[in-house]
Amino acid sequence: MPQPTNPQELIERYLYAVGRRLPAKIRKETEKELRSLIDDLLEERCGESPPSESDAMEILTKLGTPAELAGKYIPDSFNHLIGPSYYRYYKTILAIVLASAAFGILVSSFLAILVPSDTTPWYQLLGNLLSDLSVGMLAAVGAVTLVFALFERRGERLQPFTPGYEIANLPPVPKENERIPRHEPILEISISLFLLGMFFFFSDSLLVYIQDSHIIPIFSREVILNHRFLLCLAFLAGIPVELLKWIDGRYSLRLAAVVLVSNLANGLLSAYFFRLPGLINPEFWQTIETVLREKGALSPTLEAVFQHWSSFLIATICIGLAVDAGVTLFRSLRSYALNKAEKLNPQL
Amino acid sequence: MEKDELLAGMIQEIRRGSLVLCVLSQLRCPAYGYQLITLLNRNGIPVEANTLYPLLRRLENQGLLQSFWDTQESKPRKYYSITATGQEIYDTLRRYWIESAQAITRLLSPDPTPPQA
Repeated sequence: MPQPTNPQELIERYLYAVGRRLPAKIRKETEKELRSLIDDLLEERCGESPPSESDAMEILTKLGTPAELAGKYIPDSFNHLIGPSYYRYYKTILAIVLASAAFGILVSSFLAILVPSDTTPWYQLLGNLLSDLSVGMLAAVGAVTLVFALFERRGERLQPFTPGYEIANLPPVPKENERIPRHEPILEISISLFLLGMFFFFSDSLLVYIQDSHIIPIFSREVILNHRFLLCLAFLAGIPVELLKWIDGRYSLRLAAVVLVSNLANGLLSAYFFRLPGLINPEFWQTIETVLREKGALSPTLEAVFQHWSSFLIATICIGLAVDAGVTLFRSLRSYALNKAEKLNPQL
Repeated sequence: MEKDELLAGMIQEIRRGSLVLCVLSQLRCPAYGYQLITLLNRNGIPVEANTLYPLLRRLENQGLLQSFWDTQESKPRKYYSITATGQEIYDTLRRYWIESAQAITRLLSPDPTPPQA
């Protein structure tokens, strides 16, 4: 790039560089005002004699680089993506998401290497791992940052308007049995993300039945891939609950309501997913049947169980979800009742 | 070095807070940016152009200052002056400053008088 040979050219370049970093509506006027300032500064420095390039250089250096000077014209809120009020949460959530995603991808890639039927050479597996890792990490950073940047831009609307409202409405200090340990929701989120990663990156050899060192996948890869959005939704359905547990750190009616809705959604999704036709690899059924027949263990009861496997599985999942919702509801109601009693009789 | 930086940061914070008051105090009559820098410097308030010019623009956006371009002279200049809202805010700020300065001076004196109950 040719160096400017006269001070005026240098100043024009500087003003242009500042201007293009400014919002369009203030650009022209700011440039005009800065030009008049630079003229004054040159006049003060050189008096009647014509200014040299080094004079201009010194004055412009004192004003700062174009980016620095333009930055001072832009309001603070536009100079950051995520401000101090959200930064702490952003860092924690980002760390959890990154760690879980990396762990999930690493474990699934490691398991993929162990599958003997897979003829992919090791260097290709390594390449796949690196590309999965970089894409996964980038996607995780992007998604978390985007969500927090939206919070930052819209966050002010969530703040209470009356000063003192927040302080007056601070929740009571939770008693020992009302508290949810901080690590619990973090662990739950990590497990969900890990399992999600497993399903996505390792769906073809996930949950295998091994017979005489012959490996048969339980699930049909096509069906899992065709319903990946549903699976994703099922794994992510629990995350709002865990985030609420992490933020509130206590049992409350609000938490109980969210758990009920989330578990209901999860139950319905599971019921739909496990009833998908062709979900189970047909070869898997045949092998099981052959093995059991050979061993003479195929009783009519066991056959009935195999025929209705999806109903059994769905029932088990639903019982688990119902117990979880019941326990949360019980703890939340107990906490609510205790706090209410305490309000009526503060000596309790 | 670290101590110097810490001190420089603290001085900058005090200056930043008081600069608006200094600027508003000088704009009863219209003045352009460079003129204001000279005026403030002469009165012991050193200010850089790259701080003052964006500040003038911000105060204008907030409705505390108004501006016009004078194109009659050899070079066009943007003149700023205080608005009615600006004057109102300035008067309140000025009272607050004087009270605070008195209180701080009392605190900083070697033998501070105890606050009256």
